[in-house]
Amino acid sequence: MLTLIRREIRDQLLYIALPCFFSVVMICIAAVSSWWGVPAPISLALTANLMTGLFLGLCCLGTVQMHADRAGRISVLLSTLAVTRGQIFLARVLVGVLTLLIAVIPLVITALVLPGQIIPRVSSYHHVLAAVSVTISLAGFACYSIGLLVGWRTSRAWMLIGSILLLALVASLVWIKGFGVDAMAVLLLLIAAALFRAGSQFVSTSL
Amino acid sequence: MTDNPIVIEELVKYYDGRCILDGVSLRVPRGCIYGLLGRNGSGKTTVIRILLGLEPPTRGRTLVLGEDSTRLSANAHGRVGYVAEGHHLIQSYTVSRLIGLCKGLSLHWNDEFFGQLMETFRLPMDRKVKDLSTGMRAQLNLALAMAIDPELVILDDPTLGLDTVARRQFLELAIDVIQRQGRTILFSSHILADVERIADRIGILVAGQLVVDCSLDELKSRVKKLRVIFPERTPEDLYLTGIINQQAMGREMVLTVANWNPQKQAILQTFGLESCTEMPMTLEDIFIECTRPASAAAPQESEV
Repeated sequence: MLTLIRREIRDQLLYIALPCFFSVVMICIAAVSSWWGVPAPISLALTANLMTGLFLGLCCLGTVQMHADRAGRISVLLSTLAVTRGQIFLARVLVGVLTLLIAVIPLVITALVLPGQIIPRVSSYHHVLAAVSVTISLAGFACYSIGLLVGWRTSRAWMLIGSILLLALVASLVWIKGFGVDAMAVLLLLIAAALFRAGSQFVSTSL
Repeated sequence: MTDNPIVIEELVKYYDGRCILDGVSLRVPRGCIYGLLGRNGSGKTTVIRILLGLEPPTRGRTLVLGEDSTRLSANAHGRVGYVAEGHHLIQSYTVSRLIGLCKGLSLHWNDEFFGQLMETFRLPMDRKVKDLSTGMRAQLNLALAMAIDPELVILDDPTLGLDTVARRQFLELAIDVIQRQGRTILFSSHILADVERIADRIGILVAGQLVVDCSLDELKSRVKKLRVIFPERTPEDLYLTGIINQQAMGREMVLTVANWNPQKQAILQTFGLESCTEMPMTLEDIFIECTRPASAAAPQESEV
């Protein structure tokens, strides 16, 4: 499993770095804003836009992992070695989770250290921070799962249309439900459905 | 350990409503070198892909090392060496990186044997797979498949696209590898001379059906090509079961007959033959005769 994870990381290094890059930029903006006293609405607006970039980066990672596999017939070779297709898929998802954690955890730490720079300073700040962090993590993972789902398609047009529609669905969910338990529950369902569909497609189709 | 590393039962495969495999059944016993033959599009690669779990069957069942192909465990995968038609290697990797990956994902890795193979092949380790010649890719694929010390080796037209020298070199090495004890081989090829050199059992697929499944010696003994000279002209009422092909010219007739036996010989003698001589047949001759469109008389093991 470790070999499979290492292979995924090495092959998709650029796409793993993309969400992490957005995360680093957000942290830099928060630090600079705090240091120079930039008004909170400006830094929050920038953060919100960069967060969209982070989600898109995660979606790209999932899409590229599956698309590169199908186009390069990588799993044809891998699945004739001592691994199953289920293990190949699991390694892929673990890399997605790892990327998400690498991107989100520093943001949460920054929000803790510099309150008001990434999340608006409100009463019961820590409670809100926890809710926002979990919802954002789940939304990011949902975007990644959507990427996995659409990336297995052979048609690039369907890949693009599918990702736009499903990402719009995730954004609307968070927009309507806000950062809370309701949004988390719906996102969890969405993640489960997308992962199940992507996994079963990958395991059962012709390679 | 199962007695039959490969078992195929009533395998049926449809693609877009087109029947590719039509009820194929066969068993490959342990230690056997099985040559699977057939013309382009006869279903050889589909059989192999279904066996390896790369393709789901429409109906029927295939077992590899005792496990269902659709649910092969990592352990079973790790005991099968596969050399694919076209050599599906990761093109963007360098040779050394690909070797590292395969080594990391194998159950056993015979460093000594792999080293010997690499020394023989002299592959450039720092070159990308996509920059290797077809011959080099075939050699790399063979080396990777053999380094895991597989119980079962599946070779799907491994010499396709190789020049004569590379093909000979590849085969000589493959024979050396194959001769290691207890190894079962399923070998599909277009080049019948290659199969004849190494196979001890033959299967011939024609339009998705397995029309021949017997040992090479048995096949050669059962299909006879005879040059028959009649006293006057060739009779029009020559009825013999199992005639695959017949060509008449004056008093002479060339007959290809399946399931040849003394009864058939006696029937032929009733025509008062002037002479009846057996013509030598190579596997290629038999293959061509068996894969003619009207090959209903092709020999099945059950017909003996």
